[in-house]
Amino acid sequence: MNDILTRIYEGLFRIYNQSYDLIFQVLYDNGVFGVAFWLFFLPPFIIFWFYLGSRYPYSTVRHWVGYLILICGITFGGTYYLFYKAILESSVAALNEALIDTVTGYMLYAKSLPMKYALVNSLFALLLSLLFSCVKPLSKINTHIPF
Amino acid sequence: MAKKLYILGIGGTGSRVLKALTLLFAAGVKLPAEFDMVIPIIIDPDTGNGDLNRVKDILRLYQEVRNQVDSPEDFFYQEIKTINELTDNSVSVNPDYFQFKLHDTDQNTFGEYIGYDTLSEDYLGCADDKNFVRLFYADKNLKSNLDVGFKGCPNMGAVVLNQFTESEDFKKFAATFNDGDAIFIINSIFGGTGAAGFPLLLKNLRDNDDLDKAAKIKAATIGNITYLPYFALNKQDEINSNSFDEKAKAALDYYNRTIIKPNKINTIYFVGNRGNTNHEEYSVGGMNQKNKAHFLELAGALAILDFCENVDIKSAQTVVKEFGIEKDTDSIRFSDLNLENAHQISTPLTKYKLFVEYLDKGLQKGLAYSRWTRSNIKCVGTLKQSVLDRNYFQSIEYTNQIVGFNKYFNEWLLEMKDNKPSFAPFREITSANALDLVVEKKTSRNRSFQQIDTENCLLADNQEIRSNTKKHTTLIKTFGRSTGKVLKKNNLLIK
Repeated sequence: MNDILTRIYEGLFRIYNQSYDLIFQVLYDNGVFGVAFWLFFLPPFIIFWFYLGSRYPYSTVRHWVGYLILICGITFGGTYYLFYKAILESSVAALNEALIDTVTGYMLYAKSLPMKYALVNSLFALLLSLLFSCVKPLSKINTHIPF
Repeated sequence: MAKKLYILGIGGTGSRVLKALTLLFAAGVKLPAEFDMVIPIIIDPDTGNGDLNRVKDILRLYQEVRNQVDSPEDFFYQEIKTINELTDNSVSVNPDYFQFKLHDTDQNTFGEYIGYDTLSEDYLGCADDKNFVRLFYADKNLKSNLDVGFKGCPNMGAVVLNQFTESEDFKKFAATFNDGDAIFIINSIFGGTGAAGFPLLLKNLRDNDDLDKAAKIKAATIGNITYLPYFALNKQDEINSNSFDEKAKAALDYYNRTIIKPNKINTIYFVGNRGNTNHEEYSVGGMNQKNKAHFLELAGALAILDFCENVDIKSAQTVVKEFGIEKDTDSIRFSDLNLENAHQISTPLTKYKLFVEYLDKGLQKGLAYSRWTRSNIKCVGTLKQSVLDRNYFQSIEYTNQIVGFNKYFNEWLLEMKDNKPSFAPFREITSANALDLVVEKKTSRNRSFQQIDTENCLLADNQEIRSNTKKHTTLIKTFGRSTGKVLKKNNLLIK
């Protein structure tokens, strides 16, 4: 599972950079991609609440968009924090040394990674939320949202 | 066995009690003891009477709405028909058939009606003597126009109403009468039409052997509500409300001797009110006679329910009942009624009032946002689309029938509230505090119409409450269910 996720997260959007392999090695070893998966996979389930759980009868497209923003926000924040902690506050000595070394440019690259992964994960969460929105015919209250 | 209840409302009071009963039926009150059909019959020579025309319009709207509801289960459950619909199997709604016609009352004075002018002044040489007639009728009686009724004079009413039993309408009534059917008569004792009409009518029902099915009618269970004075007039003229008590006493004595003691009737209800009484705008009749609805007319409707409840309990003697409430108060609420009455009307009236208020104050928001008003939802089948969309709420049927009927319902409650004693079980509400509707109840939850909209959404694709042919089915059934659920959930019903 970890291998598949690593392949996806590293390969997609060409985030992986061989020059900074140590970072990706640390992320792989600590199973960070597995946690990242759950961070995008779980929040979209909130959309089920909107369609199947909520009893608020005056929802509009704005409310639905609000739910999507909330989902993406949770995913974004969670993912950013996860990668920031895993990379910039890592307990792996080799990585910390590399980060301190100003010649390698590790620090600059490492700092950009949490944002990249957060954006990727948010995109996944958004797509999954849109997919889950196909449940709307089963809704009693919000069948008419978004259209 | 399906049974019919014929309700004969005599005069203005009769009309107003029929109005109260019809509005209770709209709210979902049902007649007990397998009475599945009500045949209201109004007997009033005052054809232009405001009260009469109002009740005829209410009955018309009730029928029009009910005809557009497939198998009503709550609101508009009770079937109401005219004699004409029964005899001719007609389906068209014509409120004129709710009223039995009296001939020669439109243009004539009472004198012309009895042929007074053709009589002789020569008391010695002529058998038909004007002077003899003058013993019974004052000049003002003889010159009185009959198209506004009998102006509180039962001695005139007794003559004119006598023709009624020979009318085509009465014959049709007799022809439709069957085993198990019952008759209920409503009249006041202090006016003209009702006080005279009741004994006459009863006599013909019990003793007229010429009628079709005379034996069945003779043996039928007959009930009556007689209204003792319960309002006064703000001016004393041709009709003098100061004489109401005296007239009531005289008529009561007559009823006692000729109806109650000889056990001519199964049950007789007496309803009246003294003391804190409302003063109605003076009118001898016609369009201007539009008395405000009174709580006692609602009590009359309750008497009809009581009559039906006990219709199978046969007693050799006339049962006399009086109406009373638990607490003597100027402002009557549900909890002031006795438990049985409160149980009978509080839930239906509260539900229907919430329905009316929603359509008046909550529908705009529902139409703007709620799923239950949408019929153009993408990616779902036809069955999931709502039939109660903007087009429905803009249709002529909705505007004329539902809105028109509900206007009468609100007007009725408002008039009872403004009357004395006041019947005021409901608060004024806005869309923000809709669930504060019942005076004695409060909810800690969201008080707006939101819960109604939620329940309506849950019912929006329910196929059981749809009909392809009857336009109001979904609206009436949806709100019958949703209002009940919301009120129950918030514990807003008087138990």
